[in-house]
Amino acid sequence: MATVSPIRAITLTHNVLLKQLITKGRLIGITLFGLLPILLGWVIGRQSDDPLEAGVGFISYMGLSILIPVVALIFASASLGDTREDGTLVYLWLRPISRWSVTAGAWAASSTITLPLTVIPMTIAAILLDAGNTLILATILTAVLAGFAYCGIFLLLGLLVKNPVIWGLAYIFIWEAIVTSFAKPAAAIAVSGYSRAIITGRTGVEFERLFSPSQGTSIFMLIVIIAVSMGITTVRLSRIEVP
Amino acid sequence: MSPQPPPPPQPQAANHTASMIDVSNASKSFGNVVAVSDVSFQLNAGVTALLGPNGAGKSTLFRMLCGLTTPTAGTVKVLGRDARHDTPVRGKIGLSPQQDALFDRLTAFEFVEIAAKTHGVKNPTSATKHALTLVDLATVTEKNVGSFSKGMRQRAKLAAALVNDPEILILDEPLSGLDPVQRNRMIELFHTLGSQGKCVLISSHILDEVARIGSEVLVIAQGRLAASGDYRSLRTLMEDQPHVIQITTNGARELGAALLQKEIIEGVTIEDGSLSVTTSKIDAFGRSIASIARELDVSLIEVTPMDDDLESVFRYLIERR
Repeated sequence: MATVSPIRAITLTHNVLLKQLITKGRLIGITLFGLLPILLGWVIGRQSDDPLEAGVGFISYMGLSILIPVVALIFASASLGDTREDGTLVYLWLRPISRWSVTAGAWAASSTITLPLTVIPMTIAAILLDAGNTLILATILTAVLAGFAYCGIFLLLGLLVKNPVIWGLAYIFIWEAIVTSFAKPAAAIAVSGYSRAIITGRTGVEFERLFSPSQGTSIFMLIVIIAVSMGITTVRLSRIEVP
Repeated sequence: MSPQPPPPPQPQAANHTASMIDVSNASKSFGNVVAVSDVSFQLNAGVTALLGPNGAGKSTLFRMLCGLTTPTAGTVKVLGRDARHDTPVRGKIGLSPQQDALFDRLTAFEFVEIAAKTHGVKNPTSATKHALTLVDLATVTEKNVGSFSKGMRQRAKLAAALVNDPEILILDEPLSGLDPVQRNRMIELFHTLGSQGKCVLISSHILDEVARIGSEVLVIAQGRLAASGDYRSLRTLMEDQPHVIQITTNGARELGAALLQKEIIEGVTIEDGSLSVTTSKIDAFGRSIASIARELDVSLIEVTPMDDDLESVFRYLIERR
């Protein structure tokens, strides 16, 4: 019996979970959800006197704090969480492949579906905001990083709790969207805190009372968030009671 | 003197230093619920049936064997290793779990092929085709497993368990949902695999099914190993069990007294005019009950064996330990 290389194990896990994640209902629902920022972006772009500031605010709060985390929650929490709930996790768990390969494959699968469904509408919204290439490029970079980070967090959440979508929505709307907007210490332990810092840093737009680490620190911290959440997911996967 | 339960199944080769499966004083609790209690046995190549009623602890035991859950006490080794923590040994196990869940968006071929690939099988395509042929799914390889009937899903799970040519096969109720022809084919397949030197452990809650699955039987009830050994000796043991028979008659008192007097029954209770008797002489009871009723001029409305089910057999085995 040949051994399975980690890259191969990640690819196989990614492929099988991606097929499970893509359902017609999810795709239609989330595509419609993605139309909302496009529409709002177009409206704001036409009505704002300072489209860059309005655009950064809109992308920060609508895109980075709501659209991306909600979409990531739906896919990432289902990626391993659904397999544990329905009993199919055993078909990945009882294989001669490392646990972290399964984690990485699941994270990659949820990112593969989350990013196009969020980055594309946000980019279109940024274009429609008519604030220039700086905002468009900053939106793409920030959305990708935030998408990866949220997928990491919600992948873990899917393995930790039952009904991860409910817990995740509470986390998104209470912590990521509201608390971090008013409390700097909270923003320091939230994806939206760092992702907002990146987009404001790249566009030069500043908001009062906003947590404002450097772009480098923010990117580094998002990578740390991804690594830590995936590390904990791997440990959880090793210790889990598989149905 | 009551007969002793048969000894645990012995390794097929006496000079084996390590068994293929070695369960030693294994217990598993979920909170206050004891699912498996102090179970020990060793198995080597061949087919062994694990018999037990629903909820007896069969699936928990299988999950411990595969490392899917850890024993609360004791040890569980497969090929001398703990499957939970030893990655390579997981490549030598084929599991067909009890739950019906499959990756429903995959075709049968994809479902089995992903098992082959994640096991590192050298030629996954041909191994997949072979496994699907073994379980008679070769003609529906491109259909989504989500559209499969229960029997087909069961066979898809079996194919995925077989595709890596494992040394250990753990099959949890693999015959449920199969029609009689498929059952025969699968039982034949299990015996072929057992004769090839694989350790095949199959659970079932159906006594007659177990009779055909394996000559070696482990009986588990209420989480405990109630009996183990050769199926024939176990069957003999079960036949020693006193039978409880419910008789509906218009002369319960007279009939009960007559049966006791003729020493055909050992015990009798009468409740609401219904007679419940205990007998170890089931053949004599069957031969004489009608004639005794005729002699007494009482009507036999209904005669129902109360313990002719598997649960009562298990209860008997547990109680006599």
